[in-house]
Amino acid sequence: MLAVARGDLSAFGQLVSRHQTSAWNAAYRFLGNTADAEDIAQEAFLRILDSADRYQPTASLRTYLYRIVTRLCFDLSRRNRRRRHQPLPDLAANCPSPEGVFILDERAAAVRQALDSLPPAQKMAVILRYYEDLSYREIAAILKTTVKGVERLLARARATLEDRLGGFLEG
Amino acid sequence: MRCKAVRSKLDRLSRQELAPRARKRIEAHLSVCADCRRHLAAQERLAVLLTSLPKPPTVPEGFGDRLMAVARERQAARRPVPGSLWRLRWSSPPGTDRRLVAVGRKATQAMALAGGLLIGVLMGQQTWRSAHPSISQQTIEPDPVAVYELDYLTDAPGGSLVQSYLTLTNAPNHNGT
Repeated sequence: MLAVARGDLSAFGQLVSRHQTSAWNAAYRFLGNTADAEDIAQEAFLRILDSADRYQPTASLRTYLYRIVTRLCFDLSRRNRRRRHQPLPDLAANCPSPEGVFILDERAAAVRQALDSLPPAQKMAVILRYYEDLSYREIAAILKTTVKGVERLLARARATLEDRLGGFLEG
Repeated sequence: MRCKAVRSKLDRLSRQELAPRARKRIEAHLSVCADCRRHLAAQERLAVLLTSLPKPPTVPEGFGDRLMAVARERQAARRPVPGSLWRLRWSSPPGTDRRLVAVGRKATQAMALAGGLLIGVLMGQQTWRSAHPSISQQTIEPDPVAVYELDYLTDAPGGSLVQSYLTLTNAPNHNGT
């Protein structure tokens, strides 16, 4: 980051290579389409570039990046409340039987819908916990709350998800 | 421990994020509370369901190249144009520590404020002096006898009108009216 603050674009390029997947995955999981996810991921890195000389290493760069992605996702979702999701990726390669494909599609669609029904903060907490595999402490730093705050967010999210996905959870 | 407090920490327990003391208390509670054990099992099933979602598509091809192109454009736009005085004056060169610029601005503002205060104090002093002149600064009025060459009147007899006049004109703070 010091090199980036000095205007070293090759250092910035290395930073992008190292963290682009994290930024992209979080944005895609939240927004559900590649166009928005790319815009958000790109804007997040550009904001890091613009503010490199003000960066304070009080949090890791990954936390800082996730925090910017989160804020941008929240802003965009407020503007695009009714954005439709893109079709789910083709699952046939992993599941040969037609019934299996149908079941997987149906389950994935139900999970996606249940996630989309969550308030933004709960949804992002679920994404960071279950898909980005971050610790509660890291999630708290990203969402600018406490560990207890994250516990509450996830507890409420789980209650909603269990309620909506009850049929898929039995057994 | 209450079930509500335990259930909020079950996920952290499964991720081994709890301090040893808290972990022991929760494990002790789970050993005697079937409801909380069922709750933990439900959380684990939910975690499996959530993570069964397909992975997102990979980062689009060329993402890094497009981003670097925009980054280069922005960096070039920030550089001052040669010969552009206002840009040289008001824009910081790339890499300039904006904290130093902010400190410089604050120092300039502080000096301007101090200068204004000093001018105000000096003006106040001047106003006060003109309203309250000290004795040494008082204008000494010229002796009217000397000014108007009335020396011959000093020989006037005592009690005469001339003497009274001379006494009056020579008294302190006389303003001639």
